[in-house]
Amino acid sequence: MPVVWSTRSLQRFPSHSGGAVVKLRPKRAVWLLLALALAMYGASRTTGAGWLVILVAVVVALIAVGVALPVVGVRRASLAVAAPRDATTGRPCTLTIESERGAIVADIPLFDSRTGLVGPVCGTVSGVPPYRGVFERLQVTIVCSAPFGLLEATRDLVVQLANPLSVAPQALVLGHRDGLDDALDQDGNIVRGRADEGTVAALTEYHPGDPLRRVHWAATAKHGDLLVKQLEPPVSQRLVVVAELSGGPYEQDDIAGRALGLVVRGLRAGIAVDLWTRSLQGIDRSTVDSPIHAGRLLAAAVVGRVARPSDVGDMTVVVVEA
Amino acid sequence: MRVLEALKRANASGAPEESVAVRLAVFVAVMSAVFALAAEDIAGTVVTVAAILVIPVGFYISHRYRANDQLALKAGLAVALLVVLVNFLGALGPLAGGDITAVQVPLAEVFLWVQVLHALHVPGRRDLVFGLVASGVTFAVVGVLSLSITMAPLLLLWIVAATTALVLGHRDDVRAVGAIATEKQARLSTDAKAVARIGGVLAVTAAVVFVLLPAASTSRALAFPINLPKIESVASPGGLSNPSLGQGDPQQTSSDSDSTGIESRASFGYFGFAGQLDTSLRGRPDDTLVMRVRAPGPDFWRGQSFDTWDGTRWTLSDDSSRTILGDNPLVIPPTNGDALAVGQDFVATFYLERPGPNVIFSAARPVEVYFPDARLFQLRDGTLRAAVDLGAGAVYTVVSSRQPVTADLLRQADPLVYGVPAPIADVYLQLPDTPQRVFDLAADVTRDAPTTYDKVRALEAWMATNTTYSLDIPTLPAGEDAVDHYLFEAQQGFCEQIGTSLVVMLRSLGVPARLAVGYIPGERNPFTGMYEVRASDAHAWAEVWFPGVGWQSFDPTAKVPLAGESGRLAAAAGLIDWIQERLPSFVDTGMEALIVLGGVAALAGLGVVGVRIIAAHKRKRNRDRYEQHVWRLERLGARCGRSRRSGETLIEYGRRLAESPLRDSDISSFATDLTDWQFSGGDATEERSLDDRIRRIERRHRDLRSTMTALRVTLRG
Repeated sequence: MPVVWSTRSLQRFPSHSGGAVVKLRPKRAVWLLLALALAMYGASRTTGAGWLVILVAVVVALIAVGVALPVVGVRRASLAVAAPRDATTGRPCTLTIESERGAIVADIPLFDSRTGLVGPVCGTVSGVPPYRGVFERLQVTIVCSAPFGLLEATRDLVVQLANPLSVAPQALVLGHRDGLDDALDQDGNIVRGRADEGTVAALTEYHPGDPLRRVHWAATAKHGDLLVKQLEPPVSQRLVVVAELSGGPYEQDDIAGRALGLVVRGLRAGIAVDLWTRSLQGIDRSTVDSPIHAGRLLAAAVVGRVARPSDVGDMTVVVVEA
Repeated sequence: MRVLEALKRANASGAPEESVAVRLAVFVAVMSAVFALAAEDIAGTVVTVAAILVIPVGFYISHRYRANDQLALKAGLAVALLVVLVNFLGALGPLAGGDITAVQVPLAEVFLWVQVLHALHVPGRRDLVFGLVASGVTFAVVGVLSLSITMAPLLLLWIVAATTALVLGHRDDVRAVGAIATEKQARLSTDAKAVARIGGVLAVTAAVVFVLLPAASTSRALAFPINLPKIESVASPGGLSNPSLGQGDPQQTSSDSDSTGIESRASFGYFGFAGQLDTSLRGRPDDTLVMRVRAPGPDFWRGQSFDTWDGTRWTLSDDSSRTILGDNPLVIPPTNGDALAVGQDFVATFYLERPGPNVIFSAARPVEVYFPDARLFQLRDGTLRAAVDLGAGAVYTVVSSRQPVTADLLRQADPLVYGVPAPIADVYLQLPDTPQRVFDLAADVTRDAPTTYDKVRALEAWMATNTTYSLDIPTLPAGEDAVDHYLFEAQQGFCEQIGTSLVVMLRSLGVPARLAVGYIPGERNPFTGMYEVRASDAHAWAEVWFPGVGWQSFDPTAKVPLAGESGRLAAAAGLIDWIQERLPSFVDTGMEALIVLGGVAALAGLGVVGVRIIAAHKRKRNRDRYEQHVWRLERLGARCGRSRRSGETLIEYGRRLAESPLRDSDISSFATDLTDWQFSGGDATEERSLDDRIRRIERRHRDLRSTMTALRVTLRG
């Protein structure tokens, strides 16, 4: 579901960072038209035909307008961008871009693909961010070839976002094969403490399927029937997820995705979850309160070693790494 | 198979064009080119009819089967194009060594065939663009052959269609990438606006470029068009023939009076193109278009000259001629008084529209003539005559060698300083018995003029000041000297009197001069680049001899610049005059025409600005109205102790007010509706409803306050 903004809530920020540089890429049609104009001009100078001068004027005007307007368009274009606070890799994200002047097609590296707008306009641009990251500013390459497509003028604009856009990794579905044996039980749920530890709350009759290690041998010997221990849940439960990123972008996003998947499961199970990551500011040890919070932390995570908790206590510590 | 695949790849049309609008625009452009060819009657009937019938069908089929790979059709079209090319080359064969301009018509036919065949397979954008360019080239071919503005509306249509095709094509490309309106209504509206806006910018830019470009000109690099629709020899070779004079035709005999079908002088016939010029005759030719001249600049189109004056008539002292024979171009030798120095080439092509004299018109001095007959005659004064009658449709080109004459050069080449050779003096200083006061006047007017050139200008200035140009002058009394009568009695006359007086007065001062007749340049059509010469442009003027320069034309009534001072002619030269001619009669001068055009442009600009101001005002009014309502609501709240909090939205504020002691639920819904209205673009009906609602709310609040006040007073009481 795309986020919808009121256009009036857009905040305008001046574009900067090389905004004045306009790159030009004429199309082959320009040279063709130029050749045609020259040929007609030559013919007008040898035949004396006035109509040819008019045709030359039209073709030259066509070239002039077709070459000048894209340059004017990109030079005059100003942008305002409204972006959501959070996005997820591989999932559509919608930006609202407002361009006061100039017909533009926007190239937004965030989306890794060309998308279009024609201005003056206020419209939404949807794309799929391929990588995780935190975007405090957005580079938008505006491309204009209006009105005839004879020349493509491009200009890079950098727009500071009101709030940084965190592109979180996708939370991956976890399994034992992900090397998380200690953290998951047989059903793939988060282990809430060790099953053979804790206070015995009651003894019940053995039912097929009950783990043998929970059989209370003393009471069984005393009563003659197989009795199993029913344990109270551990009083203090905490899951510590240590996300240690390494490798290339895909590997990093995979690690982050697995860590996020684990965090989400922990939160769903009602366990307090700590997420340890390395950010640009150093090691970040945060207790996450929501998947979005975890997503932001993991969006900002960078490659580097993350220290493990020294005193595990009743915490379940899971290190997610390559 | 591999070759076939390679062929298929090479001939792939790219993605099919899905836009019907782009296809339609290109179709209109192509058809306008076809109709332009047809209107100018350039191509043959078969190909023209084929084009009109086949191209629409071809465009439809191309659109219908745009996604199909029609290799067989392409192969067929390639073969057909090859046949057309072979036919074209075959048509060129008989023209080899002949008139190269005759290639133009087969070339136009080739272009038309290309349009016809190409129209059968235009599935993609690239094919359509090729069609567009080909139609432009077709217009160029038509433009070379067109002598009138017949093609103007079709060219305009082509420009509009081509612009539309290009703009819509580009917008379609952008639409494919992104988010311009794709809904049909919005698309039509925005596309139409874009086309109109770009069309306007393009029109203004093209107009500016047109004004800046130099005028089209002819060059000696190519052969020139020549044509003679009917070859009919004049009765007396070397003699003058002028069927437009009817019975006054110098070659007319009683036996062949009906040969031309003109018994009396035609309305466009000029009595000056005869063996003599009688200045006592009256009656000017009308405005019939007699010829078009394609030339790089204005000049006198000189027909012939007279050297002998008898007080009322001009004649030629020596009517003998020499024959000039040869292939094109016929080389014209210099004659008595001509400058021998090589001057600047001035190429003028004459397209005759009416039968006229058999004189070959030219700018002075002709050196080469491209003429459809291999024989010309040259008189001693340089006049050229054809051996055949020159009827409508005759075309010939004259290359003149013009000395780059300036006022300074003429001041230095003074015949009164360097002397006049006897052969020139004998002929061109001759005067009959002329009243002394004419001589006295000439001497008096030129007393302060140091050179011959200045004397000529002084005499011109005197006549411009002291006499009046008029076509309605009294008949010359019998026995009167025409010059004396013009200068001292009537003091009004037309070119024959004025030119004659100038010649006579100059001769009285010892300056060799003669009277030339022909046409003034005529109105320059800025579109065709041709001078349109009308019968009323027939003219007589003085030619003055300057040593080393030759004969130089002077005329106090026609503004024709000296060859060395004419400057570069702009493409738009004559545009203002041309428009002025077609504007209502209250516009008399070029400046007035410019003012009227400027006024129209300013009005149009004001209209556009006005519309924008109204739209902006409407937007502002909506915004103001919103703010006004917000302010009234805030005032209402403040009065009951519920001021708006910082950061509180209008809807939240409305809700809070509704829960206040006011207990008015309408306030909350009003705040919500007001917000919706503001952000939905401001519908006028809703605006009126909001006005009513805020008024009702305020009225209820006033009533409540009054009641409360009354209650308090009562309680106190």
